[in-house]
Amino acid sequence: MKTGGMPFVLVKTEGRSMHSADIRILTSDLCRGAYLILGSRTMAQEFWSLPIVRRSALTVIPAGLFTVPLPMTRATDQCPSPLSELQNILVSANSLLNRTVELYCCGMNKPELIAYLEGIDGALREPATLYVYGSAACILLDEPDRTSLDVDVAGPYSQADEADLSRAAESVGLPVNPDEEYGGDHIEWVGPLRLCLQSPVAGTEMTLWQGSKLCIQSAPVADLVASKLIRYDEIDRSDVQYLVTQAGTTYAEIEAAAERLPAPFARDPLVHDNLLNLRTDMSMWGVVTDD
Amino acid sequence: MTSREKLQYSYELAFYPPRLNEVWYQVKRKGVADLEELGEMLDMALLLHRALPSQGYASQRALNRLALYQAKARAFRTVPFLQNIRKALGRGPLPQTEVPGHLVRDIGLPRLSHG
Repeated sequence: MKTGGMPFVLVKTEGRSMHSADIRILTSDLCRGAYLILGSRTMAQEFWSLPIVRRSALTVIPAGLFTVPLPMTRATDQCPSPLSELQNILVSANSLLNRTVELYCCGMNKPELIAYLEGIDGALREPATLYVYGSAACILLDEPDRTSLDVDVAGPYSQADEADLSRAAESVGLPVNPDEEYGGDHIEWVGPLRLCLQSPVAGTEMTLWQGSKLCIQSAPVADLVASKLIRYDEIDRSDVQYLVTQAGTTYAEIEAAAERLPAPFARDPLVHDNLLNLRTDMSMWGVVTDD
Repeated sequence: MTSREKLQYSYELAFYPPRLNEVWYQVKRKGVADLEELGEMLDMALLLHRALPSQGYASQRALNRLALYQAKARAFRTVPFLQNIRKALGRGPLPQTEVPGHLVRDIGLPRLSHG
C-alpha cells in the first residue's frame, strides 16, 4: 500500500463529529504532507473550519463519495470495523484517485486489536508467543474505551521468529517498529535496554488472547502497574486506577513489583516518587492500600 | 468558561478518568486557579452519576449515552474518587438523588489514549 507520492491518511471517526483528541492527532501529523480524510461531510467541514489546520496541505474527500460504509469505530461496540471494510474503502479510494493510497488506522480499540491478532494468527508460519504490556494489555483486559496506536511487546520475554512475525504483522497493516514518520497502528518491539518490565516468573503469566499459532500473554497486574510508574501521567493513572480496582491488587504487591524492575528503572527517582504518588492515589480512588 | 464548556468539562470529570486524575493532581499541588469554579464542576460531575431521571430530559439518545457512560465509569470507581476530591475541597453532600434533566445532553468524550 505504499506510495511514492504524497502520503494520505484514513481517519476513522464516529461519523458525526470529531473529538478534540482526533484533531490533535491529525494536526500533529500535518507536517508530513497532504492527507486524504475520509469521514462524514459534517466531520470534514468541522475539520476544515479549524484555524490550526494547514489547509493547503489537505485534500478532504467526504465518505459519501464511496459506496462502502465507513466503520463506526468510536460509536458503539456493536459496530466494529472489520479490516475487510477498510480494504474495500482503500480499493475505492485507489480507483477514484487513480493512485495508491496509504492506509493508516489511527488508534485501535479492542475489536480492532483482536481483528489484527486474528489476521496475524492466520498469516504466521510458525507459532509465536508475544508478551505484551502497556495499553494493549489494558485493552485486552477490557478497560472501557481504551484505545492505542501501538502494541508494546516485551521482546526479551517473547518467543517468535521475528522475520515471520514482521511479515505476518505487515500483511495485516500492523507493521513492527516502523520508522518514526509512520502515524498508524503498529507493533513496538521493545528490546532489553528500554524495557521497563520485570522478567516473567513461570506460572504467573496471564494469557490474554489465544489463536491457533499466536498467543498473547502479559504480566500480573502488579507488574503491569509497576511498569507504568516511570511515566505515570494522567492516562497511565487511569489505567492503573482501572487495573487495581478490577484486580484488587494491593500497594504492597506493586511496591514489591517495582523493586523487581530492571536495574535502571528500579532505582529511578521518578519511579520512587510515583510509588509515593500511587499510595495517595489509591487512597483517593477508594482502594485499600494495606495501611 | 461558557455554559457549554462547563457542561463538557463536567462530563469529562465524570466519565473520562484522565481528566479527574489530572484535576486531583492540580488540587494536590495547589495549582487550581479558581477552586469555587472547580467545586461547581465536581458537583455537576457527581450529579451525573445519580439515578437517571424519569422526566425533564430532552433527548432519549442522550439519556442512553449517559447510562452507558455511568456503567463504564463504574469500572474505575469514579464515584468514590469524585466524592473524595470534593471532600478534600471541603464541599458538602448534594441532596439530589436523580441527574437533573438539564444535564442530560449528548456530550462526546476525548479518546482514552496517548498521542
